[in-house]
Amino acid sequence: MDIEKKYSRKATLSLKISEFEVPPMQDLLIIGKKAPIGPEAVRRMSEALSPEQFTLIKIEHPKVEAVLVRTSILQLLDQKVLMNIVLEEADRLILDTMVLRSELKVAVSVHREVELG
Amino acid sequence: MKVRELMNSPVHIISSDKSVLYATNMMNQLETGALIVMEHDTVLGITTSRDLRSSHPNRIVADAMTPNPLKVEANAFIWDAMKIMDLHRIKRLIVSEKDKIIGMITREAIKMKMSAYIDTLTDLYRAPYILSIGEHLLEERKPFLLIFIDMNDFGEINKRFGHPFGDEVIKAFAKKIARGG
Repeated sequence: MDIEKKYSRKATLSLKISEFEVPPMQDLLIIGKKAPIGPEAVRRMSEALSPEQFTLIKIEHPKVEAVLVRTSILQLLDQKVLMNIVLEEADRLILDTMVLRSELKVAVSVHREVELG
Repeated sequence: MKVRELMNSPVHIISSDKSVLYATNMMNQLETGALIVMEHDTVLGITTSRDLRSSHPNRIVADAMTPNPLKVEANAFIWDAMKIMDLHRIKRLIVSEKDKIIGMITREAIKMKMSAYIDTLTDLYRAPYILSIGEHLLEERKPFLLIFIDMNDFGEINKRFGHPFGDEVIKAFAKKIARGG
């Protein structure tokens, strides 16, 4: 009696498609000292994806090596003030092996008084 | 002794956009401890096995190097190269000749060589050092003074007080000469 031999190999494919954000780094990237991507690589990436739109700031910090920031934000805020805030907040979250991405919105509110003739 | 005689040559070059992993493999294959990082004929830095060990393998070499390395001319003396390294607290110098990179010299190699030029008892330079400086000055046709000092009847000190005491006398005398009086 013949024993019927059956053999098959199958593969199932599943695709998840979404839009690639350009630039993928939003407004800020905080680069840890032992992160898989270093400041120079980040600078080159930002220049390739969004030329002249980001500034790399090297930092003296135990865990953070550098911060990439959208240049237009530096027009609104003093670099030192911004870095103090960013590092204060990042310090609680970051490991030296991580790269953190952050969105940053600045809203300026102005209140003025004028003399009435 | 000139830098040319002690440098490592040829030098090995890597581009700054290669990965740390690639650089590590390259160093292992070439059995070298350092690579010169270059981009479009410009030297950007030096990366050493130590730099690579402390960096993530995914990083690019530009993020795992010592930037703006210093250079020394191939015909400079090794003690002048050592002075540069001491001043800048660095361990390696690029060796150039007419703006062309021809080698690399390490502090370790100079230190080992220098030990042959320094007397262990007195810490003063030995005859080969004086010979080397003298030859250089003669080549350059620069006048120089050579003072020969002989300690008369020094053997008497050894005989009367013993060799350990004699050594102490030599050390004290050498110290005086090194201080300049």
